[in-house]
Amino acid sequence: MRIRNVGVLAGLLSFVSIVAACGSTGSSAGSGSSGSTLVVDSKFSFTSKDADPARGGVDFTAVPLFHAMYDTLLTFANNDYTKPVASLASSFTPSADDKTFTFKLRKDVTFSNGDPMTSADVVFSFLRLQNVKDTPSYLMAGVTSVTAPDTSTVVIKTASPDPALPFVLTNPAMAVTNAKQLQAHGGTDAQDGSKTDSATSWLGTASVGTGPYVLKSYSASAQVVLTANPHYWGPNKPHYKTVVYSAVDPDTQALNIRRGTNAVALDIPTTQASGMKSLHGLSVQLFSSPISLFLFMNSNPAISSTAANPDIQNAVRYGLDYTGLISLAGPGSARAAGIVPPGFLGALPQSDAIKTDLAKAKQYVQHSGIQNPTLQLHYQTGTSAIVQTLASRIQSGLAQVGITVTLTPQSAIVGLQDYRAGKDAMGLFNWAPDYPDPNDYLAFIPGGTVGLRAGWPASANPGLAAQAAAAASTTVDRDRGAKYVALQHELNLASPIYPLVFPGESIVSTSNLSGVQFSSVWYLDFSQIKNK
Amino acid sequence: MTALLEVRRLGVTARPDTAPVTIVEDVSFTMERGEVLGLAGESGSGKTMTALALMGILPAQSRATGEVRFADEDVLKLRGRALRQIQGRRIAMVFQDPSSALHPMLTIGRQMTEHMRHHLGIDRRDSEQRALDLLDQVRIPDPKAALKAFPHQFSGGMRQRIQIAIALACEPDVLIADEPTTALDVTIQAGVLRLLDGLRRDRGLAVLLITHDLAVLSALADRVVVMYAGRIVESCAVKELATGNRHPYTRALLSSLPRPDARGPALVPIGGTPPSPAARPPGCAFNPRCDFAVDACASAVPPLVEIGQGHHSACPLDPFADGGPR
Amino acid sequence: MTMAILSVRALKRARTRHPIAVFVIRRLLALVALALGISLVSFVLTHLVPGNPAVANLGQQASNDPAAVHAFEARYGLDKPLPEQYVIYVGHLLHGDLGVSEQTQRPVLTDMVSYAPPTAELALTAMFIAVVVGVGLGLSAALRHNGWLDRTVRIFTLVGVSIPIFWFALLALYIFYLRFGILPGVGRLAPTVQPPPTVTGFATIDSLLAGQWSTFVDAVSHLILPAVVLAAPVTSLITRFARAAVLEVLGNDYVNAARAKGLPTHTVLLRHVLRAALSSIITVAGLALANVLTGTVLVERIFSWPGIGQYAYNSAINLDLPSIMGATLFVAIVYTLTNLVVDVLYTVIDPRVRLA
Ligand SMILES: Nc1ncnc2c1ncn2[C@@H]1O[C@H](COP(=O)(O)OP(=O)(O)OP(=O)(O)O)[C@@H](O)[C@H]1O
Ligand SMILES: [Mg+2]
Repeated sequence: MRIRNVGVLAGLLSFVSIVAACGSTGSSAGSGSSGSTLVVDSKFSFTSKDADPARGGVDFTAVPLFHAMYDTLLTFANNDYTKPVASLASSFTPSADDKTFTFKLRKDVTFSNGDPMTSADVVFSFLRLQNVKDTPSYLMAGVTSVTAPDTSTVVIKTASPDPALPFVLTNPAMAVTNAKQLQAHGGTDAQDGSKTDSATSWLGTASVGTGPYVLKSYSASAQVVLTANPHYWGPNKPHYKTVVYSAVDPDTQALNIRRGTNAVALDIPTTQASGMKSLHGLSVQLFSSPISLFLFMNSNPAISSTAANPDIQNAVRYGLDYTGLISLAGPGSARAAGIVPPGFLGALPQSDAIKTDLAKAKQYVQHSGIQNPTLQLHYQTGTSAIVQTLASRIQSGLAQVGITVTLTPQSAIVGLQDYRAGKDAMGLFNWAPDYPDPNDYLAFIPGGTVGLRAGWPASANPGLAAQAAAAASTTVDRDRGAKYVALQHELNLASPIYPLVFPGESIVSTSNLSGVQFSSVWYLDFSQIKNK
Repeated sequence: MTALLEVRRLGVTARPDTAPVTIVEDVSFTMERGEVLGLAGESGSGKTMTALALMGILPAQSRATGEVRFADEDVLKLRGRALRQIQGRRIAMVFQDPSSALHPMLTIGRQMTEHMRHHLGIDRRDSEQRALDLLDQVRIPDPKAALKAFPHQFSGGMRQRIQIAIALACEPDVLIADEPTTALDVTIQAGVLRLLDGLRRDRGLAVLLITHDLAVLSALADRVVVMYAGRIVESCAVKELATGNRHPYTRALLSSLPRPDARGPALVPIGGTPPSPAARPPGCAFNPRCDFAVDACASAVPPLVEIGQGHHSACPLDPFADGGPR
Repeated sequence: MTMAILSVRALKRARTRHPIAVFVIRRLLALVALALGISLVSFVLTHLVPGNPAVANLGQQASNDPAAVHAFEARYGLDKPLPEQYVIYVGHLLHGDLGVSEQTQRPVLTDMVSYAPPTAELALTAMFIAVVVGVGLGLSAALRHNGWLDRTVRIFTLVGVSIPIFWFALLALYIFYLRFGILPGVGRLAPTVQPPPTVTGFATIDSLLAGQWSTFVDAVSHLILPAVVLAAPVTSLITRFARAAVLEVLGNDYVNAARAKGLPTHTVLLRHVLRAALSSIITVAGLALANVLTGTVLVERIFSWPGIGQYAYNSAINLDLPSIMGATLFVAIVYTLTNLVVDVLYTVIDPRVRLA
């Protein structure tokens, strides 16, 4: 019948129209990068809150942007995170008691709109950060005053000796912003800034820093476009006219990089990335992230008498299958010998890590007198794929020494809340460094932030608490390092918090690029990247 | 004189490629200008299928064989435009089920005029004027309003008459009317029959009248074809039907149908059920239900033979020869 | 008194003369009530989630700092009792104020205005593809009932609904982008392409309005893959429904009647067959739109498409209450309006349907 033929025709036509649509748009493939554009794929979800150094600033995926748009008083050079060096400040002098820090500013620095940078801008930026009381404001916690005796001098005073302050100052949130411009758009450094400051949404449209690049456009959850700062003061002018920081799902980053030029992908899973090493035209870097994954047992008997039992805690310490955990964490991962990441001042060498000793662990279990010890392991789903894998491995590993672990995965938000309230009997969580200094890891001492989450108050181990306090207030770097090494040795033996892994990360780039270099502070420095 | 429409050995097979089932087989008859041919038979005997085959609109997955000669062409071989020039224009059809034969979402006006405009090339105004006349002819009250109305606003009988009006719109030569009067009450029925009778007299319209209703048949038809299980079992002039029938099925059918005069013997339903086309009994398909069947009836299909002037029967026996057990 | 009588009369007159208009107005009024109801439900649900927005929004350090937590709660009114929070929210809502997003720091309404068009562009394209292909295939399959095309279509529709959209997206990207490079990868425009000035928010239309032909081509080529991926499961759905609907229609004598009139085939198919199947197709299209909107969450993520789906996802993981509420309301209103449109279309298409 004719009707049927026409029906087929209708179906075919609809196909053809689609195919034709495909064909007509032809060969516009590739990320379309040219010599003057660098495209960086990241899984970030950038929001204008993240564009404001005083409110965002700590989200790891947004850090490269801050680093490109804003400079800080001090910085690190040559991947040496043990010693802050001059940046916007040409020199700095701590007082003998490490409570007063005097910074001499460079006089040749201009903001991206051409305004010269002065001490007033620094004071404004730091006070604004302190007073908006938002995510990164804690960086200003111990600071009692920020003053400007003259246009090129800034003095910061702290309540107690703070040898870590120079390290803190390298944090992208400590960006120096153009006070005049910010004030014109609702920014304020006043005490009531948490209520009155309204510059954040404007900062999603423009950047007000001294960095090599400026914000050109920002489209949330799509891409951020930076252009070269024409007024950049530094010796190395930006190499690219445009940098596109593009929000791309990790799964599609691998496709993009394989078709791209001048392209960098930040989130390709390490197993996949190491498989890409053989691909022509790509260069793959694997390294361990400074974000530490650790396991803890709650020492508060009210939460779990089993978890709080010292023998059980020791049994876990020696019963964990550390080698197995590292290999599960994938290429690039590193064993956490201590809680401080490698490369930071006071980091432990791999050889100092606790070693698995099943016999010892079994003895501890026996000694505890607890029949069939059972623990609930809490962890967050959706944060990282390896967490689930590691949790299962912990479960099977501890089963070998007679400890039953039940897995309790929780959604990210819910899990975080119980953990922070110290309600989890056993938990698998991570710690991202706020600044590359061992002081940030005082969170792990008895009575520290994470210590309390593990039900481990200062009173539980006053000796360790005192040792930590001594390390914290030491002012000479060499001594600080030694003291933190000693402190971590003690923690490894006595703490209910067990550092496990620094998980692997990858950066895959097209091999025509040079200077693609992971940094544990700013992740990636766009201004270092060049075409070979 | 050649017949207006000649059907030769028409067969209809469903799913000929996968699971063939013969629905109509070896059906032959002719129709003259101005003649009314009755087509009778139990439900499922293939009357509608025969009609659809004549119209060239068999359902998908079925195929017609044989020949349907009309205007020097074989309708079964026509395709596309040539076929459409006959459909609706020269041969038109009124469908059996008035509740589904009109499109529920199109106005009566549109359904009455679309083929007129297509076939006759007349504009909207003329076609609507003609539609009004036709509606008036089939006694639809307020034809103007009816043009704008939708089928669900009419009773079954009115819908049937609207269908007749639609079928007559292009002044066809042949009208196939599948149970055109079943849904109508007696007065309206008479009107429709008068209308058809007038058309055949005045314009020489040939009507293939498919019906169960003996009264209708005897009032209008010239000749009758009786079908059983897809085959013709008997055909004769209408006046011979009541008295001179030869086939046991014809007789059984007659006694199972209500008679208009309400005299004579009471209704006798035919025992058993008609076979489905897929399970047609061998030999004479009627033999399992036939009171007179002999062994031979189940062995070969009895041919349709002429037993008198224009009278054909497919029963080699003549059970009523002696006056029979009437 | 007379006024009241007059207006009742006016209403009655309006009802008889413009039944559809009155119906639409009534439904729109109901929509306002519905929006309030939805706002209450989503408000209660989002606020009952055992998560703390301050914890989710402030980092590991700041969430320990009572001053920062307090500042955060004060900023978003979270320090007030729940019922009061709701009253304030509704008060603002009635003035068209959906609050300020915690993550973007912009009014939620502004966010909606910038995120809705990309989603609309993607969803409408996907719907267009799904309806054209689905109805075309469904019709062809029904006309060749049990033929090879019908069987192929049946297998494809089965596969179409059971393939995970995520997997399908990667497969499509792998083939058309990586392997053959016929189509671009993710995003709305190539990174180097300057977006056209925003008029409608549709990259395709805006680039045409601006006369930027190459941008238009780029926008269309970026639209194809995500739209096809998004369309795939609902195309199967529509195909199956259309096929069933057409099969049912074909069983009716009015199709035979149309063919018996000798009308051209396309007239029979379009005016008679499809017309009769249309109300089923519209029903399934409404259903499909809901599926498409759900699908955007995943597709937008994979294809880096800056739409409501991404916005809702990011809002949810950050427990950004005003944005979650805004996105929920938005989607609910779209659903309701879709239903309204479907209902109105029914009455337009099928004279037997009476407006209730
Ligand atoms: N599309 C089809 N495919 C296969 N068989 C069919 C089809 N349509 C009808 N049939 C079968 O063909 C046979 C003849 O049907 P038909 O409609 O011609 O009977 P009829 O004589 O018109 O009966 P009624 O008096 O009930 O209208 C029936 O057994 C029916 O089941
Ligand atoms: Mg019939």
